[in-house]
Amino acid sequence: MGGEAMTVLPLAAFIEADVRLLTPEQGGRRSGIWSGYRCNCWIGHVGEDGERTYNDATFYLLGVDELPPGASAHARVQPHNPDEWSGLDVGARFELCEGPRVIGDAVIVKLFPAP
Amino acid sequence: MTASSVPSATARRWLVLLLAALAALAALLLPAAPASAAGNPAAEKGVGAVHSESILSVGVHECIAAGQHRVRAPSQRYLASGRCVAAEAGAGGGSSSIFRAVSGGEADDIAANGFRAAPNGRSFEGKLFATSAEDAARYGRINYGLDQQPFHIVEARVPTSFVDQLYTGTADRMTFLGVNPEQLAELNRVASTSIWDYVPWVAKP
Repeated sequence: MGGEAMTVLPLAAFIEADVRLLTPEQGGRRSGIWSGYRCNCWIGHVGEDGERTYNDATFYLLGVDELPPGASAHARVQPHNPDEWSGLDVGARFELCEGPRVIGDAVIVKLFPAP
Repeated sequence: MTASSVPSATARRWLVLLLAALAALAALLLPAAPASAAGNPAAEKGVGAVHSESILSVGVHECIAAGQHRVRAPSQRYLASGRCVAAEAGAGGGSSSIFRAVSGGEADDIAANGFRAAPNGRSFEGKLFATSAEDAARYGRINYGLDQQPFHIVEARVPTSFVDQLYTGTADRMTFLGVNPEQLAELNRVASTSIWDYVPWVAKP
């Protein structure tokens, strides 16, 4: 369902990352995610009060339509506010979050120039 | 016609004066119609629902009580539940509005099933809300820039005590309120939900 619509990646998807979902026992989702999944990401930013601040992104899975809990896949990541992500480089790690709940993590493996 | 059957000019003048006095007396004694629904107890018990083509008054036959939240006109696609004056008054402790920008598909799903985890696995298992319609519109505009899908603003009016239980955070410089998956049933129980037929204009995020 829906994977077909995501075979054409948007030009603005300029990060490629290895994405891993936590299991429900690790605090992750009970259900998998589909290509086109949107969530908060924690890329290391904190507010003046020391609290984490998040940046949203959309994940387009590569090679699979669905990623179940506990599994890994490559994905193109489309930051919703690319300027906030400009300090990241290959090898940087960030977390996939649903609010304060961490549901997975990702490691950047390739950067594409922003359109 | 005899002269005695025709009122004299003096008598006609007295008749006109008498009628004028009676009209003035009636104007003083009869109150004017209520200027707004605020002064009309019956209107306070009804649910008004705004639609692009008309204003529908669900009416006093659809009386609502605190905690009763979903009144839907089945023949109208985006009509739902209301600005529940009676519910707010009865709930005590105040109420607050929280907002989401949703696709047409999610709007339909909310109208049919309430708030629930997206069945297509493309969003949270819980739900994030903005604290204002304007911020929700900003989220919607960002998403529109990504997928070109039109969006709607959904307002959920909930007891402030429920809002106090939600987690807060900041994403892309906007404050959000998060409803955990475990809180969705409670949200659907207490929320008075309406889907706006317009989107506030906001500057580019």
